[in-house]
Amino acid sequence: MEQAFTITQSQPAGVQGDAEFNTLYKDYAGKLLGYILALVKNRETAEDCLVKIFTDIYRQGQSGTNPHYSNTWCWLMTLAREQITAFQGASQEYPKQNIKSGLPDDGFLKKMSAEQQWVFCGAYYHHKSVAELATELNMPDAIVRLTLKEAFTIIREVR
Amino acid sequence: MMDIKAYLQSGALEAYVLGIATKEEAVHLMELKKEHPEINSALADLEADLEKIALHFAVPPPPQVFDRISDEIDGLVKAPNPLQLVQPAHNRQENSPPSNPFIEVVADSTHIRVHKAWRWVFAGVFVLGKIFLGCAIYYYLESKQAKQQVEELKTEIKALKGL
Repeated sequence: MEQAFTITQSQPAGVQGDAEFNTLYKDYAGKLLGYILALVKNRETAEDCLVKIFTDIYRQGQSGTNPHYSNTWCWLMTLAREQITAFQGASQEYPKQNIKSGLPDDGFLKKMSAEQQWVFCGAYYHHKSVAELATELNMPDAIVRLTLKEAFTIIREVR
Repeated sequence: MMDIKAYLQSGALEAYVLGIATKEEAVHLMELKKEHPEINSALADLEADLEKIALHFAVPPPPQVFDRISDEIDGLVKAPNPLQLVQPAHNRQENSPPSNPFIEVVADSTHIRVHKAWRWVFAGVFVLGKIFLGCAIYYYLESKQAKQQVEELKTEIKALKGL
């Protein structure tokens, strides 16, 4: 039986009409921009990266949590690191020394020791492996993990 | 038997949520997670800590950032009205042939876009066309000359027969 059909776009098209995407942006754009800014230290570049990340997320239909990551923020951090590498080129790595410079020196970072800061910032911002951090700090892997644990304990205490 | 408390205090979970655990460590954690539910709650707490860190360093983007994203996704040319395609049932007659299942779409743009490879195809077609044109002209002239020769020969034959 033939059916009449009407196709009418009754809601805004594109980004404006995508509630899931808008929620993702509202919840994480600020966090992501802060994260990227800490790495690239340039506002314009950071905003460009942010635009590119969210554009890619939308185009790939990944406004919901990526199933390969247990946590949306972890997934977004990975995307940010990939995007920064793409933006700045493979040959030009973002500075790995003392990532702490440029970060607001208040709250939990202030309470951490230099080693804890190095381990935490190296892992959080630069995704350095435990082995890399152990080599840099000349300490065993187990101690690096314990230092990371201590850093998280400090973060939890500063509420 | 593994001391789960010692494992939770070792920093292995912290390394995992930050994505810096080795593959073996991640696999090991996944196995332990099935047997020890406290690992799940510890991981959830760590993920909450990460979000807290992110919020601490968050920098609100200016409104134009979202506009840029929107423009990038939606395209710079926006239609004035929402697209509306209607095929009402009451306009159709009973004995009319089945309605066309395809929707007529009139494109606004006056140009088409094709793949760059087509330029070589067009170039090849152009060159071949010129070659064929040359051949056509050549064979036309050959044919014309041959016809003239035939006419001349016919005239000679008639003249010889007349003798």
